[in-house]
Amino acid sequence: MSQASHPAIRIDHVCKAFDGRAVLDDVSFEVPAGEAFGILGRSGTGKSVTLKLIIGLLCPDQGHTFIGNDDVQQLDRENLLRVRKTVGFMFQDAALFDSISVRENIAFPLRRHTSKAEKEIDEAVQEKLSEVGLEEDAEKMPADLSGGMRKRVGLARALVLDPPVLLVDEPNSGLDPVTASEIYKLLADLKKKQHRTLVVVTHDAAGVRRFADRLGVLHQGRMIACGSPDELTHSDNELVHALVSQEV
Amino acid sequence: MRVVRNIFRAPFEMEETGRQIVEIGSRSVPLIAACGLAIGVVMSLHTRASMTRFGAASMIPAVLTIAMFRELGPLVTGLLVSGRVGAGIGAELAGMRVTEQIDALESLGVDSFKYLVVTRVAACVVALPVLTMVMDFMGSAGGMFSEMAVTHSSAQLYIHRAFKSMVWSDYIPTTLKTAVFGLLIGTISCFLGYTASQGAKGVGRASTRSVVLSSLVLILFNIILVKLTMFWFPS
Repeated sequence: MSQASHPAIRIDHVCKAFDGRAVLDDVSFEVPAGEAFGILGRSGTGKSVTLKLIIGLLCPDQGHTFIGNDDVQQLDRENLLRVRKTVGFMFQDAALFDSISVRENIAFPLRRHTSKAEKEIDEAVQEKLSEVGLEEDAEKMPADLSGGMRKRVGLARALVLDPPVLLVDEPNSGLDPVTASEIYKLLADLKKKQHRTLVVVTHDAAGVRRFADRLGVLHQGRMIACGSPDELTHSDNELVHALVSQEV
Repeated sequence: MRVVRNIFRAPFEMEETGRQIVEIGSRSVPLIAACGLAIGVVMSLHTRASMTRFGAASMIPAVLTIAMFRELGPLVTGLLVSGRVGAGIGAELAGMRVTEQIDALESLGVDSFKYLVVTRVAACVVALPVLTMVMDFMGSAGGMFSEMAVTHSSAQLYIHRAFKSMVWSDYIPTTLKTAVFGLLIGTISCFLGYTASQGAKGVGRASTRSVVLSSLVLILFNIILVKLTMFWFPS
């Protein structure tokens, strides 16, 4: 199958409202396999909701979301859980399991979904920890980590099953510019070296431009622009231009 | 219904259920044992004052034991567990909900309902009857120690008097009914925790409501269960 005929992620005319307030209004886009797609927008424009809709953590009021060929809304529970294993999700606040150590957090998906021996699991965990630069912190508890470290553990956990698709929610939120830059570098490496499909939502255009092939701009629930970073930088729409070039 | 249906569907989450049985069951034993002992002693003191007035002091062991096994033990165990475990489950799951840990579980392809809810409810169902036995026997022991201290009678005589009029229907149905208490405590507190929202406030609310609601429902259900027990075991 060609990449063009089967995008890794597809959002098809999705609408979502909370308490009568429309958060997403007829949003559609596709992300081909291997592409890094950045979703930009101001706070509260439905960026995080979009990611949760993609893996079925939320259900759209209208429209459909697809992971590969699978219509997420049409999948039964068993198949939905199967499909989710092919998508890594890095949460805005990392969402680490706070009652277990960093090592156990990363090992958790492996214990659940693979038949690997303990030694292999340890090796895989150590490998992921070294990828995110936290090999010395395996025994720490999530509460003992800084915001940046938590994000990196969240990234390691999202990647430990080697999913072809990675969804990233606000990779720089609450981080200083240096730590945020480290996270962006990790994401850029994932794109460049491992050719994973990335969907990154953020309001930090400068950061996401470092690796995104295309950007989409959400405003008042609608995808008002979609294209390469250069195209959007020269957009006639003032808001798009301001968000992408960060001249707000 | 969803809980019951999922208990019998693979994967069975035996490891997590075992961990929850230890958390809910084993770690409640000191509380249950201490309370049982104290209740036994206090019951003995109160009963002695009344029974001696009617010249029926020799019946104190039997009265204490039957009261403990038939009603006090199961009910007090249920209420204590709803306080300790119900609040814990409600707060833990609500905390996981508001910090997106439940979403994280789902995103990793784990059925969070089965992993978090079914295991805890199953653990409550298993743990309650066992904890009730602990409460029953510690309560009886408390009564015995108190009586021995007052009357200087032997433990052997107390045990003989306590259990000679006991029949299995005083013990088995009333202990097994606490499995229903476990189902209620587990279901209510898991539901309130699993569906929590509104940050720290939601966590506090889920915790408080878990205790209040499960205690209330438990007491009300106890009426029905006592009637059913009396209907099925009229002796």
